[in-house]
Amino acid sequence: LCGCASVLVCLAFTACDIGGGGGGGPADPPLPPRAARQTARSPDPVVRGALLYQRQGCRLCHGDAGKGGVANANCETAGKINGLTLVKEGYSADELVTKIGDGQQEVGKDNKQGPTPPLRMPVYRELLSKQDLSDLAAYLFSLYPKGTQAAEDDWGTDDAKGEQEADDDGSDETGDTKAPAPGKKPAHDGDAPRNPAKAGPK
Amino acid sequence: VTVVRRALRLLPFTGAFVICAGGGMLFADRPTFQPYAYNHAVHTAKADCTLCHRGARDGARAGLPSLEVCTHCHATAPGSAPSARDRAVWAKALQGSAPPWNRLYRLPAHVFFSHRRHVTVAGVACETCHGDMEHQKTPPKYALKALKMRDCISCHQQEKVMVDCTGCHR
Repeated sequence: LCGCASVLVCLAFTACDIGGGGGGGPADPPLPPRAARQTARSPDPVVRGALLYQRQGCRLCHGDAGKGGVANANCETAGKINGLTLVKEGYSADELVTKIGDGQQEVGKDNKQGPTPPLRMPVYRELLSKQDLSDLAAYLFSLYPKGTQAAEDDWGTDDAKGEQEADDDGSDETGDTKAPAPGKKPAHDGDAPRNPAKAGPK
Repeated sequence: VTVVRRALRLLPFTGAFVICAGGGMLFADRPTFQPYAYNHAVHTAKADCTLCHRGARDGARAGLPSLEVCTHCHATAPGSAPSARDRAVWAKALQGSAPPWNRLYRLPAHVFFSHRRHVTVAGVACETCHGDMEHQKTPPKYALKALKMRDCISCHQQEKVMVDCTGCHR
C-alpha cells in the first residue's frame, strides 16, 4: 500500500512539473476573487504587480515567477520564451515600464526562413494603466535572485570568482583595466586589495 | 370502414403526440458548437478568466472575446497543431469577420445580472455559476451548470443579501 501511495505521489509531482510549463515548480493556483480583491488593494507595488503578472497572462509565457522556458517555436531566444528574473540587470524602472508597454509584436526568428514564432507579447500600454505597468515592473525587479548582489560584492574573497571577474572586467596581464561602461558600477574598487591569485601570470 | 373509424378515433392522440414530440425537439437544449477548438485549460492554468473575458470583473457582461484579443499573444493560428479548418477560421477572422464564438450561457431576457457586482463586490468565483469551465480542453457543447433561479435565491439567502424580485427582474 505504501509503495502504491509513493508511486502515486511521484506521479502527481511529475504531472505538476509537466503542467508547470517550464516554471520549474508547481503552479500557484489563481487567487479566489475575494483574496484577489484584497491583493489588488495592497499598498505594496510588488504584491499588486504579482497579481497583475498572473491576471494579465504574463505567467502563461514567461512561466511561474518569471523563470521562462515556455516553447515558442523558431523564436530567436532558442525556441523558448525568455525568463524575467534578471531584468534588473538590463533595465531601469522606466525602461522596463516602456518595454512592457510597447510589448513585442514582432518576435525575431531563429531561422530567418522558418515559420513565424506563434507567440508574441501584447502591447500592454493599451491594456494597463501607468500605475499597473509600474507595479508590474516592481514585481519583475523583485524576482532578481537574492544573494546575487552579495556574490558580486565579495568576489575578492573567492579565488575562482575573482578570476572570472578579471576576465569580465577587461583586465589583462599588464594590469590595465578598461573603463566601466557609463552608468555602470565598476566591477571592483581600485583601492581594494587585489586578489593574489590574479597577480601571477595565467 | 371499421378500420377508418378506429384511425379517426386515434387521430387526436396521434396529433397530440406529434405536437409534443416536435415541440420537445424544438425547444430542448440544443448543442452549441464553436468554430474554433479553444482550450480553456491551457489558458486558465496560469491566467485569469478576465484575460479574455475582460468585462467579467468590471462590467455587467463578461463578454466573449473578439479575435483581436487572441492576436495580442498569438501571431499565427493558435494551437499546437491547428487543423486546416482552424487556419481557415483564423484567416477569415483576421480579415474582419466577426469571430465567431457562440454563446453558451444564457439568462432570460427579464433577468438582469451584473458580473461586476457578483465577481468584484461579492467575490463569487466564476465556477459557482459556470461550472468547471477552466479545466475544459475542448469547447463544451452544453452549459456545464444550469442557471436556475432557485440557485440564485439559495445563494442570496446564504449570503444574507436581498431577495427582492426587483433586484434581479427588470
